[in-house]
Amino acid sequence: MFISGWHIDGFGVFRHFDMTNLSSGLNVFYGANEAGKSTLLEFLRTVLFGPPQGKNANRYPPLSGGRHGGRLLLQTANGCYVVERILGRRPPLQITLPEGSAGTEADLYVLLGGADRKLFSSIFAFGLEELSSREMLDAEETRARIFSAGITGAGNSAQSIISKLDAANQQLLRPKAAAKITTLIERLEAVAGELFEWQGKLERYPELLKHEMKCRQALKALAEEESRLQQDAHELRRLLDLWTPFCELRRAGAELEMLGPVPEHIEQAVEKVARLEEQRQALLGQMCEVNAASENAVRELSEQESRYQQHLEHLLAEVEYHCESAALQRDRLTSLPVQKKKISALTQALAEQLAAFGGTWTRENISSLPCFFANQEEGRVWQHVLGSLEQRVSQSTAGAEVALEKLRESEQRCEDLRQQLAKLPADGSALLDRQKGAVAEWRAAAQELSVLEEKLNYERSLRAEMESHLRFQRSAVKAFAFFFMCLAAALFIAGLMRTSFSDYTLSIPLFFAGAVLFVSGVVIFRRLKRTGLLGPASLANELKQSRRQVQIDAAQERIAQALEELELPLGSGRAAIDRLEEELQAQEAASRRCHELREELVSCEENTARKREAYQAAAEQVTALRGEQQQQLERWEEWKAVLGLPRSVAPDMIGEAFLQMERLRDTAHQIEQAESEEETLRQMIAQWTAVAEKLLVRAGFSWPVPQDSDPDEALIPGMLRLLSACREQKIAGERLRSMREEQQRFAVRRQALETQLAGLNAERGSVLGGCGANSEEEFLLLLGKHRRKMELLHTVRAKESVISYSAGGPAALSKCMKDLAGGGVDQWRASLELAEEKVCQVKEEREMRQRELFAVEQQRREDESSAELARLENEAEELRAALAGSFRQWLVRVLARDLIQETLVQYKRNRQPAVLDYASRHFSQIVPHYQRIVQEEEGLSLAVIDQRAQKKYPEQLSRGTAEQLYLCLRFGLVREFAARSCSLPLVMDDVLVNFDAGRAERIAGRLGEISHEQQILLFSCHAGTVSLIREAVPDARVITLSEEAQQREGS
Amino acid sequence: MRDFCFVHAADLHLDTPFSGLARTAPALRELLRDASLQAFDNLVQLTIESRAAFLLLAGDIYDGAERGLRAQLRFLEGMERLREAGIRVLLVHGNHDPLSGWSAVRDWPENVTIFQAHEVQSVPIIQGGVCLATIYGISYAQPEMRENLALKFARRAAQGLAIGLLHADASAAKGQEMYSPCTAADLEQAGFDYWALGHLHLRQVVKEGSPWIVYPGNLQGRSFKPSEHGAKGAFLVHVSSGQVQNLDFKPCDVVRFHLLRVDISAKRDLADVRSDFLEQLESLRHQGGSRALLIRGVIEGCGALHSDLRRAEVLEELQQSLQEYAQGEKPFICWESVAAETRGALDLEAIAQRGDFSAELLHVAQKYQHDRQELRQLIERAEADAVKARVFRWLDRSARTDAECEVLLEEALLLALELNEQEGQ
Repeated sequence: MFISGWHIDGFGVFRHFDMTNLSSGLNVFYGANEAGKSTLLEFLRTVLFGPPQGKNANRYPPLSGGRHGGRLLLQTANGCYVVERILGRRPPLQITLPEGSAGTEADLYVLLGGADRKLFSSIFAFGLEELSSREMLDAEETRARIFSAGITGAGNSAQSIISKLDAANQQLLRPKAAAKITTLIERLEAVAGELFEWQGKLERYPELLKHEMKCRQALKALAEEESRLQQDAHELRRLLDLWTPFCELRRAGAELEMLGPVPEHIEQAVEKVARLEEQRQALLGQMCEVNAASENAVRELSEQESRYQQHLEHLLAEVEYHCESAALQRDRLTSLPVQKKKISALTQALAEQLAAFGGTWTRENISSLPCFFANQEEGRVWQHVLGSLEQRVSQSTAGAEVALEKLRESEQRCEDLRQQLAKLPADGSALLDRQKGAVAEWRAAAQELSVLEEKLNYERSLRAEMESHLRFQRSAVKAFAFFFMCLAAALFIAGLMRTSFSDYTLSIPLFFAGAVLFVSGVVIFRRLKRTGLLGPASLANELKQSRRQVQIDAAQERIAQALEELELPLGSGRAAIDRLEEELQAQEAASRRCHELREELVSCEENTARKREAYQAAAEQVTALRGEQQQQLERWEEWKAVLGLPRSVAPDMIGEAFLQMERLRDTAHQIEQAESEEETLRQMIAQWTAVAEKLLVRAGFSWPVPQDSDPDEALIPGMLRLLSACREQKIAGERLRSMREEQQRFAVRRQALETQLAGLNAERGSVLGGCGANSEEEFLLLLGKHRRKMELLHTVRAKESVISYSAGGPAALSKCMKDLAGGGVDQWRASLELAEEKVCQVKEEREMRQRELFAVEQQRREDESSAELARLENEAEELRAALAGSFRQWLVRVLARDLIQETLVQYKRNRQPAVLDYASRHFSQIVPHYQRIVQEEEGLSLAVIDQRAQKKYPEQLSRGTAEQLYLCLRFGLVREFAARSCSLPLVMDDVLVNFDAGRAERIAGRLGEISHEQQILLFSCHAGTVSLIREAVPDARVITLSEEAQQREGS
Repeated sequence: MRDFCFVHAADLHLDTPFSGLARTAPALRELLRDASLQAFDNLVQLTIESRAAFLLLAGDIYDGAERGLRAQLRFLEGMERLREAGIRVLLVHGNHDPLSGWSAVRDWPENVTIFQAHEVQSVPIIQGGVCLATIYGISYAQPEMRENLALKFARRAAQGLAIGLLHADASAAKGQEMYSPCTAADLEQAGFDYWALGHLHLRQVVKEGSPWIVYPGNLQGRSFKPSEHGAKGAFLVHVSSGQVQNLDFKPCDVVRFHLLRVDISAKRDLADVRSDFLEQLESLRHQGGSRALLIRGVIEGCGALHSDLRRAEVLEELQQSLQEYAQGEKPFICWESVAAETRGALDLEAIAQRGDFSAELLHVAQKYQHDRQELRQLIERAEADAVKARVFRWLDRSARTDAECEVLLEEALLLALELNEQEGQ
């Protein structure tokens, strides 16, 4: 790639500065100081790679206006790329591809071989200051870019891959910073800590069990202690509780002693008296009740007796019996009109059926109708015979009609054929055959004639061609003979000349050769004279042609005969023959058609005769069948007359006629049955009515008959009312009888109660006397004393019972009584307080133990049921798996990075010598004192070896020599980059100023050599440098910047 | 002799954590936490429902010598249930739960027989006055048992079925004979009818008939290792006329692990990959009944999709999409992760011929491939930052094999090459 031109829109001192047609070799830009050389250098850098970065960077803003930037024309093998960069525009960069389309930054990247601004500035486009800056050349980054250029064509690929891998790995693992792996490890450590805790917990499980057991035992001991203390306290509390009952017991005992003796059985007497009193009161109550009930019964009895009618009670059985059939009677009364309607309908139906059957039959003579079953089979036979005959007659008739139709068709066909035959011409087949033979003969002869004429023509043309060829041959042979004779004459002259020089060795062969050639020429002439133009071949050809002519004549003769046969004029051509042949073919087709029609007519006539016979046979069969049918119909009519069937009955209706007769008989029978039933109903209704009337009269009941209603029907409600009245009287009678019996029972009861009351009074008097009381007041006094004694005794027993219960039974009672009798109440209270205090202490301790046990139990249960350990183990495994995955990913990337780094080191070490060799070649030619440039072992530091094989480092060289060294090294690097990636222009700004004249001259030669492979743009402000270049490289283009500037101003 | 059946299970690993799983959903986490215990409950239920004469447990009841309390109590509860059903339990301890381990349970129910270490004990199973079988067994005293315990077994009783109960490795590789290594021939010499073995988690019948040598596998899958995939459970062994007639596998697991693989070589886009995963999932759904399915998807092969899959968020989104598809479905389905093990379309031979940086990279990598010592040193150097970050407190790098080192190197090389080639484009 080289720069073919540019346009500066506005950059530093330049505005609208165009440059075109730059050479792909060496271009020298000459200009005084401040002419804009450095500006141009920076312009090139800026357009290709963008402006320099940094606060203090000089971006060369346009001093004379215009947009900040411009465009470069980059020429490649594919065409011209236009790269335009206007700073401040969005986007600043625009690229136009050779085909005219817009390119991208990536296209520029590829075009520049992946070089960046830094690489371009340090290797390709530099000024004097940068030339002497060793750091730029030594920078690892620069070197890496140069030497890794061959990796992929991009200068920084290997480094960028390493950076990418490192960046990707930074997300996984970063020392002293958060990353995925470190996070996983932290989490794993946390989980491991938790796991350790849980495992410790589980290892303590047996201890936990032991602790739980110990707690349980301690609790048991405490419970026992508490129980004992509770017992003591309970004992003391009991003594204190019993003290009051004990005191009451003692008081009650003392009072009992004071009361003295009281009759023991007074309490029983009291009870007895009370019981007797209760019994007396009960008897008095019963007596009152009996009296009241008796009075009510008497009142009701008198009322009942006034309502009772005995005769109705007696009629009840008969009425009930008769009323049972009342519903039946009502049903009969309802059925009677229905029955009448039924008889009427049946009679009507019978009349209609008889009318339909012919009108000759009546209800009276229906029974004489023929039996259906007896004649049914016979009727079917008739039906079958007559039906079959009818079918046969119709079939035969249809057959005869079909035969007649076919006969007519056949006769019609014969007539058609005859007419067609009459229209066709008479038969001429013999003449036709003869004419066809003549046509065939004419065609064969004409074909033969045509072939013969073609052969004759061919032979004639062949002969003409042969003659022309022979003429050519004769003239050629004549020329050849003449040439031989001329050559012989020349040889003779030569022989004579040689003879004159006495050179016989050569003159003799010349004479001999001349003689031979002369003789040969004479012989050829003689032969030509002897033979004619065509020779024997011509004669044979003529003979052949005469034979052909004879054959042609014979063929023409055969054609003439054929034309005569066909009665055509001589000379008639193929067209006439074709027309005749067409006519013959038409005649032949007509003849064939006539023959076919004749054959068909014969066949058709035969067929017609056969069909006529078939028709006659069919007609005869029809006649015979019709006669038979007539006979059978006459017999059928006779049979119907015998059976009395109507004449209108057709054979196929015989079954229906028999069914009608059967229906007539059924209807007549139904009418008889209905009439009989109606009569029975009338009789039963009359019987029931008679009995009912009789009963009603006996009961004295009347039965009103409503107007327009049936009197028989009016009896039924009257009977039902009678029944109801009879039933009521029966109930009244029964009630009257039971009331009378109850009256008697009341009297007996009252008497019994009066007897019991007298007995009770007597018994009460005897009981009071038994207690020593003469009166009821004395008895009550005694009773009061007795009751007080009983109360005291009850108190004593209750207290004793309380004390006994508290003491725990009769066995412990005496001890308890003894303790109570001791009377140490204050001491008991003090002991109780002490015991209760101890119980509280024990309780507290027990609760504490209980809580401890609960906690231990809970802990144990938690441990037993906890899935936390499993969860943690699973989580640890998950984390470990994630860590393994991430670590593996990280490790693979690190290994990949290390492999690339190692390869890069090796690559640089192995490839750098080529650069140094190239640089050494230039350097030794520029500075002959030094032989070569070498690389230190570590691959970084450089040195030069002089003629005495002494090594010098760059810092030991003079400034000029060092600059020459660095310039040569750049030549090597530029060449290496071009070899690996692409060729970029070398732009140098006044780099030769520190070179002496000799070295500058040699440098100019080197530049000329390099410019054959590489475009060079050299900026200089020294006219001497320009002269040097002009001398060393005559085809170098020199551009004076001031002139260009003037051109620009002018434009 | 009457017909009967017994249940053979092993490697219960009660309350064991699930290894190698990525972060899972909370619901699934709970399910996984209790899965081994629920699987054990299923085993107890199976034993009771099938009216088995006895239950054989061939070691590794618990996952570690420091047995979890929850596991022990759950196991005790199961034993109590079997006691109530009148079913005997005979068990040996294995390398994960040797006799030296801590036990929270002092007194076992009378139906439980635990075989001791040091010598083979025999226990007759008598029912109705008839000896149905004699069980011979021996437990591990310590986690490591390099002795071939199978050689200690010999049939003593002639009557009934002779069954050997042992935790042993019948397929131990050279150098890994730490768990009573033995061969089928060693087991056959004892003259038993049935060897109830434990230790291998992959269910297998090593030998059918006289004697039967059987590994029932573990009761509940625990990870995505091949041996942990698919249905897990116990064998119901039917005995007729004193001979083992057939084995009936009964699944007891609660969660099933499945690894689904999709090759991208013929895939046009990620939607194709997703469809392929879902098709495979559909065929799995009906196999496990109501059991939860834990799925890990692995995308492999070489194809155009490789570059898309290198973006971490693509895999996460794919997993999320697959999970959304399974949301609310029965049985419960969880996509644990979706990983890419794909390769770009790199032609290493062609690269090696190019003589550029990539070729140099290949050359450098080959140097390490040929020198394992150098490779280990390279990896150790690379791990320096990880050491500082205490990564190896949680990850064991001492067990890393040469093959694993080579895989790491290959992955790193491919990554570097892909990045290089990508930069070049």
